[in-house]
Amino acid sequence: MSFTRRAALIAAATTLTIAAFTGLSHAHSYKLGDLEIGHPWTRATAPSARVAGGFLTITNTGTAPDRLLSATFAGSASTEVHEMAHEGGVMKMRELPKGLEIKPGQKVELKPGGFHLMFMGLSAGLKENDRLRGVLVFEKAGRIEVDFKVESMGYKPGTGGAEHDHSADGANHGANHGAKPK
Amino acid sequence: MTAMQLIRYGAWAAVAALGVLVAVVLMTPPKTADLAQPGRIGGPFRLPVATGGELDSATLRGQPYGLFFGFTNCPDICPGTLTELTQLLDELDKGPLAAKVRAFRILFITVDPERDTAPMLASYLSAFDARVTGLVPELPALPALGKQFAAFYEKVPTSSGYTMNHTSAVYLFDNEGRFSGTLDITESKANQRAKLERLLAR
Repeated sequence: MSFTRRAALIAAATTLTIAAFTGLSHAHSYKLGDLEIGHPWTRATAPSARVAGGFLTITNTGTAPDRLLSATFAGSASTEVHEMAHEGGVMKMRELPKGLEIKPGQKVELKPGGFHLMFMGLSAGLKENDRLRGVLVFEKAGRIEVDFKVESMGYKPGTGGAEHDHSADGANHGANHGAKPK
Repeated sequence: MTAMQLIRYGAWAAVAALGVLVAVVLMTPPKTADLAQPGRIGGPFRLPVATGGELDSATLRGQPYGLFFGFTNCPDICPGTLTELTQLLDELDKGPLAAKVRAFRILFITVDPERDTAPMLASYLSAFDARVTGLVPELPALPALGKQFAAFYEKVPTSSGYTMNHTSAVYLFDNEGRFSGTLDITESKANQRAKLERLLAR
């Protein structure tokens, strides 16, 4: 093998490796047994804010129901599973003490205005583009560590964000961000 | 006087009466609050400002304003509403209503004064447009304030503390302090913008 050929191969391999790693860091989706977890994210917080919402999608590709029982977040003292609903002009929140069921074949979206994780007692403000570790605990599938990407304060899924375009983040993002804008 | 003359005078009298009626209707200021909501929304208030001092609603005469009930431990609707309002004000600053939007104010009244101290609310609001003013009522003053604006709020206990349910609307008041409807984050941004433009254009 000639030197130039070997150099070309090494260069190609290096490029592929970098591409693979870049792909991994941007893909941002997870698989745990029959569950697929898409793009866990949260929003940058205003100073003095001590709470934030955690959002993600969970798809159950299996044949048995599962349940998101609880979660933890590196940036907060506690995390609860909540439901939010806009009823009669009032934004109402309630804790789901039994967690959130994901039926077989169902894709559950935790998103602003609906189901969400409530990160309570933030130790510091959340800054855009940071990533913070969290743990999701499911009844059957068990636990998984995920990274929550901090989006901008006005970010809305499905609209490409309030101020920035997110389309460059890869295919797995696309699936999540394809959600219908409200 | 002939019968024909009688009819003619009668007709002219009817026209005159109709004219007076139209003038009275046109000159009577519309009761915006009554039109938009049964019962009155708004009225005078005097509340501590997060950055210090007090705000007397009488000083708001001559400038339209928005009023919103929220709290800093609000994960979604409060920062979301404030972010969208900040963006909308920024857009309007660049448009034909720039001169009018400069004097516009948004009053953010905390429904959680137990946790939201004045310095905390001031720091929280520093992330948004400078036209947003934080107001921190004393806890005992809240029920009357809620009633005054037909605003709902309640404490909701959770396993690690509590959160608040609250009215999501931003109440709009014209430059005479009259309630002029609401805008809501659940509406499209274009819709919210149209409502602000209509309020400012008055």
